[in-house]
Amino acid sequence: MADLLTFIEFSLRGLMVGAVYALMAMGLSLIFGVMRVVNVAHGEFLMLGGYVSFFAWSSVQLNPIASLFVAMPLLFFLGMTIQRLFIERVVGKPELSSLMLCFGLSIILLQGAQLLFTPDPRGFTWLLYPVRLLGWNFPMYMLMIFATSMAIAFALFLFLKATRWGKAIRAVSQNYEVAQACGIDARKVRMLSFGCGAAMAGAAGAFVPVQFSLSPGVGHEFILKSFAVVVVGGLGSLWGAFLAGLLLGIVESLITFYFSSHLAQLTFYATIIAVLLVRPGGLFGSAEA
Amino acid sequence: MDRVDFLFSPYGSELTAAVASVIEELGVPTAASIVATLAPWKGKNAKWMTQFSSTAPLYLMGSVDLAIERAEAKNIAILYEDTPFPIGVADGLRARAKERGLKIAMDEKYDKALTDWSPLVSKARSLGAEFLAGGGYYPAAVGITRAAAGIGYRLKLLALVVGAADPKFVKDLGILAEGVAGSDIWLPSVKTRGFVVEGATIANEDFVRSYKEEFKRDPEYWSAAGYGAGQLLAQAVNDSLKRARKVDRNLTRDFLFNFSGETIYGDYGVVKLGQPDAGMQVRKQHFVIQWQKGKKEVVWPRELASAEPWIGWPR
Amino acid sequence: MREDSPSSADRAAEARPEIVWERVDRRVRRALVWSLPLILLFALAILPYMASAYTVTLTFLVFFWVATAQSWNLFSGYTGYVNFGYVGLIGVGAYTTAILIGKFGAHWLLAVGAAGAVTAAFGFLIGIPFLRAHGIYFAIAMLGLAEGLRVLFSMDLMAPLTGGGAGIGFISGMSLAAKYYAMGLVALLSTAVVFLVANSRFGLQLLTIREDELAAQVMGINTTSKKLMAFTLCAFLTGLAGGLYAAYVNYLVPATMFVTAYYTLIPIVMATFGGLGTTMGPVVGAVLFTIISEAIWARFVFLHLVIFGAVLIIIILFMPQGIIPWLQDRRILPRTRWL
Repeated sequence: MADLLTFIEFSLRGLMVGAVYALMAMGLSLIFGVMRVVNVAHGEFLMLGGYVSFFAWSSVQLNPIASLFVAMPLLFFLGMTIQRLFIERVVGKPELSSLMLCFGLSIILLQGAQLLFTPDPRGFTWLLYPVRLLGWNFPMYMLMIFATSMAIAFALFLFLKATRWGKAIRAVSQNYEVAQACGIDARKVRMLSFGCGAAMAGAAGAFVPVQFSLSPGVGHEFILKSFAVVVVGGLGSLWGAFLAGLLLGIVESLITFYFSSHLAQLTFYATIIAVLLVRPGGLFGSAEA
Repeated sequence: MDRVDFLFSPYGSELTAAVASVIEELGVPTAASIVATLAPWKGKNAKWMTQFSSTAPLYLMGSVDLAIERAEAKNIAILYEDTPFPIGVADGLRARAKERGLKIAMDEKYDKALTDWSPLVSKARSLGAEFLAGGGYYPAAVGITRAAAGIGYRLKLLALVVGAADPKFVKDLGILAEGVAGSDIWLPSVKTRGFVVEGATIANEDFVRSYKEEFKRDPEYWSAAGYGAGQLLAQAVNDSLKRARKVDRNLTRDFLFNFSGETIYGDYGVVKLGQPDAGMQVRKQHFVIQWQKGKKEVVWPRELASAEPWIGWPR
Repeated sequence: MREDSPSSADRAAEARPEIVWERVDRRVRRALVWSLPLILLFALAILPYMASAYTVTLTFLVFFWVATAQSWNLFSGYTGYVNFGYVGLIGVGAYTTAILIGKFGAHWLLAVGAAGAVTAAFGFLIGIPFLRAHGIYFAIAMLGLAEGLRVLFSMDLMAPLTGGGAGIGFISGMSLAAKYYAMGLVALLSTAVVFLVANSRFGLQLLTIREDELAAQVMGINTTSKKLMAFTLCAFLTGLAGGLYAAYVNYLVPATMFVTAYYTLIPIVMATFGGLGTTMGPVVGAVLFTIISEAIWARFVFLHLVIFGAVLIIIILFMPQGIIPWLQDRRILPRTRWL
């Protein structure tokens, strides 16, 4: 009985951490779906979101949920700008170009952040007290982060489902030619979706200084986890990214508890490899990519 | 390299380990000022480099005694980063816990890239650990403390390297830092004589005073270590000049390996030349510190304590 | 009227169909083609006897980057499969040397040779599953592999060999000159292999895969086995370079050995700058970047890498083919299989 309770406790913990992974991976998947670009710099968007949230807290005591209203628009415009200036030029070119371009961007943002923000680890204390939930203690901030992440994820689904631009994004991602034939401006859609993707990473990042330790290199760990998530969920699939994010959060937490954190980390990388072995196109995704 | 008579060493375990073999190959007398791992000396038959600072296993050993004798903890959870220095710290904790019969409830390392300590801390609580010790660098000390607070973990003692000794720690965590124990090699307040050079002594307080005049702030331990290593090397060179009227590498080296005494940094004494672990520091001591009302107090060993240890965390 | 300044090369190329290089007198050209490499080779051969330890070490690093940029080029430049896990191959090679010397007391020659063999075997084994994944998935998987190796090498499981997170130190017993010559040979070997591949049927097949893998399959090329061959060859050369690099580092820790933002980034930038799928491009890139970065940027660690990132973006956007084909397009360099 005690064992089962522990199992549930750690599954719940993992679910909550997984919500952050889901947010980030959804952005990655959205970008890929629309322009077939794997945004290797996605982790750096998350990191930037983290610094926005950190500085918002340390300068004017803005809490991370409020600072989402700063971080998300900022990252949205940054994403659009980067898309317009760089990514747009390699859309439709061989993968090598977009991969290396994003790699270059990632390095610039990462090392630039080291210069600007110093490599010092940052973080702040927000809602750090235990709350009793279903018989277990969870930190209050964790519950808030989980709830907010869920809200953002569903807002994105709603946006794609119900708005004109959202429908245009889905159209381009489902069938580029038909979408263009219907008079959708694919360039604008690409800019918009890159912005949205970056904003999603920024939103996930806003929680990093609360729950994790924020440093310029933090994106590296998250991008690899996101890769595992999107490989399981299928690149380009938003629901896939959402569910796989939660799932991998749970798996990570359970393996940490029953085995070790090393093994939990290795699981992410092993997942990437294992999934690609079985299905070179991701688990839930289409085989073509 | 060929025209160098002696070397100051780089900061940190990994860098020192990397230069160790070069130093040995070229034969340059060196006192490694800030390196806490044993790897460059253990069984290496070192002939040129000695360890000036203390060793990682000593960092938290005192906290085990404190946990047993004062906090009456029944068991310990050791949680540490998987890199050379924290591994050494954990080795010391483990060895002392075994020696003193303290049950080890959890013994786990985590990857350097880890950013969320809460699963591991929750694990320690699930396993019923009363004394949590270990850590790595600054983020870990803050992360572990936060994670423990977040789940309402009540501990008899929480002891973390090296971040918990950092003045930033209490600034960043405020009330949560209260009662957290850490380890310090050196503090401005500690009375050490330093070297007696031709009748004149530069003791720790002199060093601290002139450092403050120069830089307008208290020196950190690395400055003291550098200065202390400088005192030692200067003495080694003087010794060589006295004996041979020139700076002789062999004589300088012999001094580094044979000298046993004090610098402003504290005691110095290494395993003698010719033995397998030659050059390894054996005399330098560590204190357990604890944050009490925003101040860093030495709480262990008892004879150097500036305050009574507080038992129980959080306060 | 002659225009000799390089800034006017563009116009020169348009105005005159002939290649700048071919305007030089034929005899002079021939003399240069034969004597320059010989002089260079001779200078490099006597360098350890003439120059300071610093210069020799710097040249050793140039050799290391030539070898790695070249190996990266050999697989990714020719097949178009982006190997983001390149640091993993360097790491496997480096650890092989470190373990053989540090734990088993092997001679460095044996250890470095074994590093090549072990890394080649490793490349072959992981190549079988990984190369099934196409394009982007391959890139993602390789990034995961490098990180996975870092964690794996620090785990208790591997600790008896790798020393775990505490790392492994050893004394290679190599003099600086020995390291220098050995790395020089590896750089030369890598370049020779790329040259041979470039001028072979095999090289053409790889380039076909890069242009259109489906078409290559339709043409009857067994793309998987060709990719695997190139990948294994790349791993072999990387293993040798990594193995010798270990002798230079002396002490390996997973946290500092498997750094993607360094050991993967730099060969990629060097090879891409010089020209992917060329023979001399990676050499030019490696020599240029090592020397410039040592002279100017190296003092500013982060800025140094920012510049590498910026260079990568600029190349991809404005000169995706690299400097050598760029110069060839402008008829400054001749189109020859030697480049």
